[in-house]
Amino acid sequence: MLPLTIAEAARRIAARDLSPVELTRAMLARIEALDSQLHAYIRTTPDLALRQARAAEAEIAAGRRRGPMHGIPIALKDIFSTAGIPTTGHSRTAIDHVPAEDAHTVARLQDAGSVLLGKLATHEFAHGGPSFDLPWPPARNPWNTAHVTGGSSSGSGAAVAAGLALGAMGSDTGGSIRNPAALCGIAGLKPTYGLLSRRGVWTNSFSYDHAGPMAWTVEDCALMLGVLAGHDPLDPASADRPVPDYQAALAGDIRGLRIGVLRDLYECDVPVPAVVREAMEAALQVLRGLGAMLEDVTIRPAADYYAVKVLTAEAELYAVHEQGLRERPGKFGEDFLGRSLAAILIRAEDTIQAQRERRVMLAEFAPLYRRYDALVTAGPGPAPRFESWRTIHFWQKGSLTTPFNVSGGPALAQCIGFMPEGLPLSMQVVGRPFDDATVLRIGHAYEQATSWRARRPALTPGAMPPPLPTVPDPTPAEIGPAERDRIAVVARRAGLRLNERQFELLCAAAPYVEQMAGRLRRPRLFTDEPASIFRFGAS
Amino acid sequence: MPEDLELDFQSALRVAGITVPEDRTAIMLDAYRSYRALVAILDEPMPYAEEPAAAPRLAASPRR
Repeated sequence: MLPLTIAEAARRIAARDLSPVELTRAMLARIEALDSQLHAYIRTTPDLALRQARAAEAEIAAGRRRGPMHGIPIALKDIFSTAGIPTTGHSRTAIDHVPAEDAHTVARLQDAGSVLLGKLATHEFAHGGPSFDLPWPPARNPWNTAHVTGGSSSGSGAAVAAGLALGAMGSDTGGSIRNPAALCGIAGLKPTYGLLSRRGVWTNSFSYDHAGPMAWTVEDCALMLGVLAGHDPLDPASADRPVPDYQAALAGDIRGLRIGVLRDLYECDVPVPAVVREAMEAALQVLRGLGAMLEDVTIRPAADYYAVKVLTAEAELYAVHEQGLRERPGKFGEDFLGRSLAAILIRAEDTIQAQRERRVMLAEFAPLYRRYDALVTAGPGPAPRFESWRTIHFWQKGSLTTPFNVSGGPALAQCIGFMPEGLPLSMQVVGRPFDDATVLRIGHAYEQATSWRARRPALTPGAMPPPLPTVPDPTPAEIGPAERDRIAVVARRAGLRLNERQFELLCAAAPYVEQMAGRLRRPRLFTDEPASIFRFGAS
Repeated sequence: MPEDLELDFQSALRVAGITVPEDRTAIMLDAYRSYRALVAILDEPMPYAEEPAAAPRLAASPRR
């Protein structure tokens, strides 16, 4: 019976050909058989799942089917609050945290009748990882368990790819839905900022966090988005606008659509391996064959977007975790520390300049939105092995995904083929703010025209994953004694008491913080406003 | 500790590339102490759900 897509399961449930209880039992059995080699789940909720499945079955039998998500087993990245169920952020610091209320998006999924299978692994607080020093092991890539899933929605990527959940919730601050979707060979949508509520989702960055669906197909993402999107008056970033019918948008016809190809981004700026370039050429040819009109187009260097995002988002992340970092830094994983501690080196004016630059960048995207219906570029991947990861990569590596967290419009990652060794390759489809429907339409048309969705990871029950590497030592900092002294003073002023390794993690990041800030230090007019401004709500 | 505060102040000036004239140092250091006192007022635990007053908002997508 398994694995199924959401659309297939929904059709069979509607036709009374499949019972939600039967489906949920099969999913729980599959998790039991396979998850010991993937570690996609932090905890399962079998009693709740079966209770919800029985309720769904009874309602559907009584003729009260709520829609396509009714009776569908899904799972949540463990930063989505669940009332009465621990929500840990995969962190020792929140291991006993039990929310009193569901996140707004979780409540919407429940109102739609979905079945909660459990809570999924994540990079620590949707940020640091992969980590080898947390209370739970990192999720592994179902296509090859020696490789990372990508993150931060690591368990969501692994669970959906392995058929351990029909859909999952992820969050995306710099690429955290699209990275694991790409590396695990599934579909993941970062919706337009403000389309989905962030309320009850553990904050990474107030300015850049997006909640979003992850599923085997683009169609499944559309089905999930249909129940997730909508105004939440208690989320200050939530947009109050009508929600279109995303499923109806999947017409399959993209003839005449104008698509800008961000070739320079993946060929020169953040160069991808040759195998990805070849897969992209083939994917572009498919889009042309479907009648889309393609044209190369260039945006700013990826490093500009990365600097703008990091100088704001790291400061916001630090503000969220400031007390914990000051009082018990050793409770956090080292990878999280290697990213977050450096926020003390970001000066207030650099964060403000980053927000001002973001507004300039948003304006720069406007003519692209007028000229093109969507943009495409390569997605992340293929997945590297666990032992190749170093925390300093966060500061060093350019990003194919972060430009679209800054632009804020929808961005979809989807599978466009496989390495000869079997690891997935990906493409991103990027759209105008609140035009998520066109992005889904293009992704769905591509998916229908290709056969990649017919291939699933081959997993053997009882197989043991290879051992994890040890926690890597901090990368030696390329700074002199005077700079170390300065950093020590700043750390003391911030009230941090760091051990030697933690201080080394901080020092290693320092040159990169300065480089990023330097990119944005230039004369500006006082009229250049930041992207985040204060507004009065309705009285 | 006053010594620490003065060291912090000198460090912050150095990072910002600012030189304070000798005859202004004492009054600026005093201002820095006042600033640190203001920061201390905000130094309290805050749940992650406490959002900033300013949130980014995207304009509607431009028409073709």
